[in-house]
Amino acid sequence: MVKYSAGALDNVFSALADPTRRAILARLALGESSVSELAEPFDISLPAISRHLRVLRNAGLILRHKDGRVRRCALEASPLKAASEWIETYRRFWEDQFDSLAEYLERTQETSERETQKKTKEEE
Amino acid sequence: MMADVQAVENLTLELSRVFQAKRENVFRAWIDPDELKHWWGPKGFNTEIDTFNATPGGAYRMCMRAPDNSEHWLHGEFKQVSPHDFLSMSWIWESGDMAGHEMLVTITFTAVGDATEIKLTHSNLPGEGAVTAHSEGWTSSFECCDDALAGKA
Repeated sequence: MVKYSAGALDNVFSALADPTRRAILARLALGESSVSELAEPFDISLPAISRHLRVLRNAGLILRHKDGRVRRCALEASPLKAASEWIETYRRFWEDQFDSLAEYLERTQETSERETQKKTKEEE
Repeated sequence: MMADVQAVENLTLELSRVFQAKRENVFRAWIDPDELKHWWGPKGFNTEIDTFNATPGGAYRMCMRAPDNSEHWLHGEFKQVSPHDFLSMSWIWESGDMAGHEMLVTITFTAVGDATEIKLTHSNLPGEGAVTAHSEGWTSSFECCDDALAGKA
């Protein structure tokens, strides 16, 4: 399991809360890209794109490097994996809790049915 | 990778299950500590309830004790308690690297004939403010909670 901390996870979840940032990641999943290529499909300014990229970089989701005079971005997927593992861990936990609750409810239901039957018999 | 994006893009874990019991009984199993302790916690764990006040603003604190006696304490506050429809509470581990980090759990109870559907959400509460927080890297762990969650010690 990828090890991660609460603060780092917060950054990833926050970064993913925005549809433009998710679209940027989806684009980068196809391969690395320059900042202006990334900005192209969106109807927003370059500085706005830069802000989104900064958020993604702070969350550890993208790496930037210079290719001559062009800045290129690449996806770093491991924090995403950690975030989806976080969700999976809790899903398993709650599924187990639900199993246990279902068993408990079945048990108590049977007990109360038995008691009702007993009572009815006693009354007869 | 795209599956990972899709998994996390809702930012919240959502799951549901139908229980073959009346809604009042299912709701009570969550808010009555004498009932909760009989089913709460992973298999093989014992639940110790220290505080449990299921009223709005009320606190809870409990421990899941693993078969090896390691303790996983958890506390929080009931935000909303609407019999027999809805419950929400904060969720804070006391140990591990998630210690002190507030999460939110919401539970909706819907009657389906004589059965009850539960819809549960568990969210990591990402605030926009967290974006500016310093990225802490990926080296530390929250093994303590991992183990409790995975039902092993």
